[in-house]
Amino acid sequence: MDIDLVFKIAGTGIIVSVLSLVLKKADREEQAMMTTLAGLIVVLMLMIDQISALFETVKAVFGL
Amino acid sequence: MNQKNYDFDETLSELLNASGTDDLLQDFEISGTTDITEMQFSDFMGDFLGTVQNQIHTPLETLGLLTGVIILSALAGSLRNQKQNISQIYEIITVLCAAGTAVRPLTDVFLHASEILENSANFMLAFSAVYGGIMTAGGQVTAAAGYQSAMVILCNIALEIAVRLLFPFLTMSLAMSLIDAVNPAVSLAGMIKLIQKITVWILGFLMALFLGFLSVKSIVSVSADRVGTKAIKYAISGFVPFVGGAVSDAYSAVLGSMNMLKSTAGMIGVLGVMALLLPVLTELFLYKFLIAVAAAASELFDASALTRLFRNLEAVLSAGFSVAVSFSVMFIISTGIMMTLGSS
Amino acid sequence: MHIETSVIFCVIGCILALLLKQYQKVQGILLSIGICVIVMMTALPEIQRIFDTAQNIYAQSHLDGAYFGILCKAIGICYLTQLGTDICKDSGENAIGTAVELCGRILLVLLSLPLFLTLAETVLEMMT
Repeated sequence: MDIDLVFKIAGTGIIVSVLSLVLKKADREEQAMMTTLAGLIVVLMLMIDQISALFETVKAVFGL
Repeated sequence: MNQKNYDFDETLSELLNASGTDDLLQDFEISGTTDITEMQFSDFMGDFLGTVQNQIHTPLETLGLLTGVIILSALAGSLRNQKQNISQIYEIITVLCAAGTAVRPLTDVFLHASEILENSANFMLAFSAVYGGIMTAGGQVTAAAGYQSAMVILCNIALEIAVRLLFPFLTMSLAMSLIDAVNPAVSLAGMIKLIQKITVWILGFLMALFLGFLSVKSIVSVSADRVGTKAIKYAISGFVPFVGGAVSDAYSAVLGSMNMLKSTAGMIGVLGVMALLLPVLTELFLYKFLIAVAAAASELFDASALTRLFRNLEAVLSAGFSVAVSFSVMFIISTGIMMTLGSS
Repeated sequence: MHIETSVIFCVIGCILALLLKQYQKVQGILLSIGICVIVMMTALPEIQRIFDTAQNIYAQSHLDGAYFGILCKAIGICYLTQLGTDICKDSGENAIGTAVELCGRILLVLLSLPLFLTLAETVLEMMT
């Protein structure tokens, strides 16, 4: 049970939301949006291994 | 008297041969007619258990496959929460799998049952002719005529039912139970149960009518025959000079040996019918029992569609089983009535 | 896999996802997808064990063994489709969820067509 991954994603999410709030308050809308996008890409990169492993296992178990 | 007992087996086999019962049994491939008087119940049970052991393989395999389907259907249980769900299609797929597994063995059993019913009806027709001849030779002319006419009617009814009604009806009920399991909105289960109940009622009614009619007729005819026999004996002793008494006593002796033959031949006929029908009854009962086990298992795993399917199949098998049982009972009891009545 | 670890894991994940959804909905959804993926990964070996048991039962009989493969694929399709639909609906995209479900249903029907045809053939053969 990969609790580290969960905390990484949660941590990234919290950092992204804090940063985006701060940037919005500081009137830098574009940078806030870029932070959100960057956070999205980082989380996806974190999860991509797990997702591909999941699909491999599903194909193996169910014979799809 | 001592001589007669000493020659019992030989006389018996001669009489059986002459009356044609032996050939009859051979035609229907029922063997083992010797030593009937020495047959033990343990031998009979041993034979029966041997038959069960032979027949239990296919039903057990079917049960194994159905259990596998039930387990796999239980996996989708978590998805079953909402309506209009994708698990509905999965339920239909599991029902199709179970039906595909069960359909072939069940239709084989039904086909076998109607074939055996036809065979046993033919056997009873031939046997009743032979037995009627033996009874006539034993002086029970009216009873023999009554027995034969009743048996002809019964066997024709049985043949009609077996050929025209039984197999199509059972396979139709099988198809209906499939449809009902797949789509619960169309509730055919009630109809299947109704058909089963009606079958059982009609069969019970027919059986009561037939056996009642037969018993009444034979009681009346036996008295008539007894009077006839006494009249013949009196006539012989009266009209034959010098040896009239001895001849009339010899006549009584012949009648007595005819009685012996009659009861033995009757027993052989009953055993023949049982040998024909018992495997089919066992098969039907085994399948019914194992499908009931599958129904309990699927209820345990909360697979509602599969449970519906199995309960309906169980009802159809019960209907088939009751038809087979009632006909065999009618055959056996009518011969039994003839055997016991009128041993003067 | 123990039930306590899975339950606690999922509950913690739910709370974190709820927290994130207030500020960044995207991150919240990503977190819930991550939780689903991880929990499924732990559950799949157990399902493999169930399939192996059922496969043994099937292998021991002489009757048709094609049904087993079809049922396994079918349940896999069911699980994945249900998961996808629920994730879409959680994000508020009901239409996309319904589209995923439609795909799943069509695939299931396609999968079961040979089964249905075999059954119909058997019944017709019995009738004639």
